[in-house]
Amino acid sequence: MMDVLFEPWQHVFMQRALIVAVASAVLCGVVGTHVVLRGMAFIGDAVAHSVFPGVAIAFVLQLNLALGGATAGIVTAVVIAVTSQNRRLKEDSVIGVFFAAAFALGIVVLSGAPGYGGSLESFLFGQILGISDADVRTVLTGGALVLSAAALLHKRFVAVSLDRETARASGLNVWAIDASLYIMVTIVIVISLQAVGNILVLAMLVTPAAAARLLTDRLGVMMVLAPVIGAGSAVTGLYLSYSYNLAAGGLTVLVVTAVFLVCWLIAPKHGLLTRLV
Amino acid sequence: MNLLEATDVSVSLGGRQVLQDVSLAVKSGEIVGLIGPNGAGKTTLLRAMLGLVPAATGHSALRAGAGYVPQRHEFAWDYPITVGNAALSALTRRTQWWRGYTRQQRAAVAGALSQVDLTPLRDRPVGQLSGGQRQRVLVARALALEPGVLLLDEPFTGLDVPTQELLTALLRDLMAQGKAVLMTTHDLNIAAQLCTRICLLNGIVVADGDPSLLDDTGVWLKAFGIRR
Repeated sequence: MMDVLFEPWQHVFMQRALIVAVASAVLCGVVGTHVVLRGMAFIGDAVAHSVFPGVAIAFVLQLNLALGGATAGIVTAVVIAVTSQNRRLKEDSVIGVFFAAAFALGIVVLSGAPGYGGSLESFLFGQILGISDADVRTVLTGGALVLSAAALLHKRFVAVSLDRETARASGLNVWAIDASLYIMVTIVIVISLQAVGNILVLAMLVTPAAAARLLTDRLGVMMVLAPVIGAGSAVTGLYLSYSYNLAAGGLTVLVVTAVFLVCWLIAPKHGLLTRLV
Repeated sequence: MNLLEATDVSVSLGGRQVLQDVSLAVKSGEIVGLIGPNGAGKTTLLRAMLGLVPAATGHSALRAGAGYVPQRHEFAWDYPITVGNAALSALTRRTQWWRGYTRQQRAAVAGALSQVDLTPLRDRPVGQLSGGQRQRVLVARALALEPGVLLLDEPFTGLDVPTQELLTALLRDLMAQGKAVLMTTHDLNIAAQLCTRICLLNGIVVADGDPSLLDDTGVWLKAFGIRR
């Protein structure tokens, strides 16, 4: 029995996959907690889409794909942060305008490049089983940087999420704090692309944090639960992928969605069934 | 001494002139009630004085640390945070990035919570509070800054009588300590009882003086009856 459980992890490619999946899940859980509490899931979506043209252009020019994606994502994040300070247009409209345009740009750029099919697929759906040692190092370094930034900025994120105007009145630079959060979301998305791909990355950012919110009324607990739920789902997804030879990214997202549904039904205090009983 | 002062402030929002040449000063030991119809620019004046909206002309001056108590809907009550930590969040600007809150800061918050009678609820998530308790959280958060000037936006709206009395007593206390208090309100009874001065606002300052001016029907009609 134990052999069956441990057998997959003896392969080097599975070990690398495990490290990257767990690291992505932890990052997504921590940053996703702020995303869910701020109600900015749509920004995550926008950034995920806008990473696409960056990757496409980097692919055509034969540059580093992750760097290309991160650059495009950060540019979009800053544009959203600047534009949304104008209170006449709501954030969601601004985002709706930009992210569709970014994705369109990516499609046009790629359609002009010969032989893009394979890269496009791994970009869109992840390539967790084909990760190199260099990828692992990039993910761990980037992850450590994001976690440090999240720790340093934690109090500021909380103050702005609670009450923007009063935070501004107290002298906090709300614009810079917003922009930092958006940039962190971008980096986390680029890091997590390899694990689940561009289309599903939003699920890793939002679903574990949303499930954690149902389980607790404590921010600190939520920030531990979300990474644990994400990492557990990622490991389970990888294991199922190995056992049944199915797509790892898709399985991971299905597992985390199942966890969310269970929390939604039977979470203490907030669960649907719990409240009925 | 004037701790809070606006001089000839005009503000336009989205192309509409909300305030025109408004001058208002609040001294140490005063509670000034800002009264006017909806859309008169009361909140905008508070925000202009705090530097949150730019004044097209004129200027405002704050000569002491300011505590701001916004309307209750400005705060994210569904955020998973306790009463104590919500009050502590006011001090974020005064902390280093890499440090937690200091012992003095925690003591200031404990003092602020006890001033509004929230000490027993300090570990309760803010989402579980009643309207009156929420208003007290916002006041405690402002008091944690140990401000010389307190600006409150509709602090008495929707409060039950015990909470009204608690807040009234607290504001009188602050006045006795020499703080300057400016609050907007629609509650004329409370304004008449509590405020040392009344400012009637409707885009411009219609009247500024003793609370007895609330009895003057002429002034009253001018503030509420005439639409500019």
